Amino acid sequence: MLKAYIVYYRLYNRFVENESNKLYPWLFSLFLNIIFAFILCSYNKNIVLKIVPFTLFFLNIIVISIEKGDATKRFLNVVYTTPISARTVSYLNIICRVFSRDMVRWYILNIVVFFSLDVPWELSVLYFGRTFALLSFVPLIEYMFISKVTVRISKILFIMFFYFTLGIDYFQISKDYFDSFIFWGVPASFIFHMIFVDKLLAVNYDGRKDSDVSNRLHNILYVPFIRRVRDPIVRTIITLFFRDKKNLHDFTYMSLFVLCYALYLYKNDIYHLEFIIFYFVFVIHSFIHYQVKLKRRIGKVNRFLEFYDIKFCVIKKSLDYLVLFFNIKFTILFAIMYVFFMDFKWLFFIKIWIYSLLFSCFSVLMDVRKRRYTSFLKYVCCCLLIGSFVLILL
Amino acid sequence: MTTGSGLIVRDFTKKVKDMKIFESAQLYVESGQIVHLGGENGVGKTTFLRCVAGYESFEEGDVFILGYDLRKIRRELLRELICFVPSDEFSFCDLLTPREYFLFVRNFFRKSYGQNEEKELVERLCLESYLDKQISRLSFGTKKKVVFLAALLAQPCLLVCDEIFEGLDSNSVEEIKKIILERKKTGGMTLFTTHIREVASNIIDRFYVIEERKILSLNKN
Repeated sequence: MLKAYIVYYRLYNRFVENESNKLYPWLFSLFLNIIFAFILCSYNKNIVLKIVPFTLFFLNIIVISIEKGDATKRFLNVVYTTPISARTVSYLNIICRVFSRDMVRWYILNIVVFFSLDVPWELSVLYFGRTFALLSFVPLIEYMFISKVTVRISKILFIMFFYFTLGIDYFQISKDYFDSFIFWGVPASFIFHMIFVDKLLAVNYDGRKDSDVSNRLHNILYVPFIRRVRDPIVRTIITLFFRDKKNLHDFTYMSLFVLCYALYLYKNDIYHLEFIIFYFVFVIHSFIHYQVKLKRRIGKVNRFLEFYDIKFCVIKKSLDYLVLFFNIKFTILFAIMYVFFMDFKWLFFIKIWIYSLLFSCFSVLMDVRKRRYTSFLKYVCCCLLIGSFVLILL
Repeated sequence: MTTGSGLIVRDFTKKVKDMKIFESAQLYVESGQIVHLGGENGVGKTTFLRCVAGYESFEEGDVFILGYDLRKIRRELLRELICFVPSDEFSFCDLLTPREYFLFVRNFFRKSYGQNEEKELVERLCLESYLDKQISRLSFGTKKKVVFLAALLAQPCLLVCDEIFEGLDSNSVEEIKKIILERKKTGGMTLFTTHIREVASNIIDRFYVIEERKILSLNKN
């Protein structure tokens, strides 16, 4: 299986590079899915629903670790490895692009196969949803592999929490809330985006009047924050960051993702502890996600940084501000949600607030530039963070 | 010319996709000189300027700016010494407004001009009414003037401008020529390309042209 997968992977890469010919990976993917569909309706559905997405996920990680060559090329290769995780560095981007033409073709093709083999539609959605959700994390894993050793360990620890949370979700099948989230949350966030986000939140500077709702919202949401940043260089980077429409879209998706998840948790009366874990992991993820973005030289922020050869410490500082900002933003979002949707509990709210501040401190501490303290501090911060999570869990 | 003064490019060789576009090329810019680099479309003028400004690497040869070897110089120092004005690629800054951009430049560069000089230059280039508009919404010529002004604010030793006069109105062209001449008096070097040679002929000290992978020094007239 492993060998077949690696062969598939290389074949796929070869054909992806040659845009005119994508037939073989398509056929391979189709063939695999016919087998999966057959197993799904004939034998134990759990084999396909649980094992296949995870197997694909781990195979991707193995391929990443054994594939030799230039780190950037490897990174891009992984991004291209499967049709599901194609051409993107973040799973949120995949959500954004899952309805692109290529993806639609891939999904339609495979869903048609599933339907023609009489696989119940709920199972089909679950299967594709899970595969999609898991494989979309692969680029992040790859990022850890290619980053510098000094930062890798701390990132791995952080990412572990993310998967830990996912694991909790994944195996609590009795509650079925992960499945329902995949089932309702992803399409809901997409529809929500289609209806509201582009019209209300996306800041379009090209041609819209200054009195536009979007610009006013932008002014309310971001400008007061940007004005509080005193360092003009950091402020410029943050300004660029917020004005980059792509970044803003991603942040909006993040908010929606959290919102859907939180609403779902509320609806299913899930214990609040997981909410807290999700919240923190989410913030950590956003932090890492944007570091990935900045390091991968995507977007206009990076063109500006490159043009002036701006030092990495300045970028780090800007990132700290951004993390702090989104910490505050998400905490307020949760507070509002608690007020409107749930019984507001002061203790719980304070808990969230304290931990979000703790995380901000940790993220800032981790960027202390004096080298001899950096590693030590990183480990201390990681230990503290792990410790605090373990304490909550106990 | 010693390596300690001006810009020295010696035995410069650059390949693009295994094809040599420069071979043992030479170019010198002395302190206070204005140099025009000419050549037909596609000969590699922009590539050469980008190499000199430190945005692209080159295979062989030496480039010295005020005695500093371009391959070994600290990036921060390089940015202080050389400022590059691209011909048409302004997307790196187009999410900012000119005011925000100038504020950044004034704070980022140690030797940069102050607020008063900025105001004066803004007036001279007729940019007052555009200061709070996002750069992406400005016209091509205005964008070029904004990026040129930002480069001037940094007070670099060497100003490298790619196709500087293209897309500008005649008043702006004259004003930019005056500004370049003023820089000359303070010892600032300017290396630029333009296809409108006649426009620049009365201000240049030296004229180079790229021909068959070499840079030839010609009579400025």
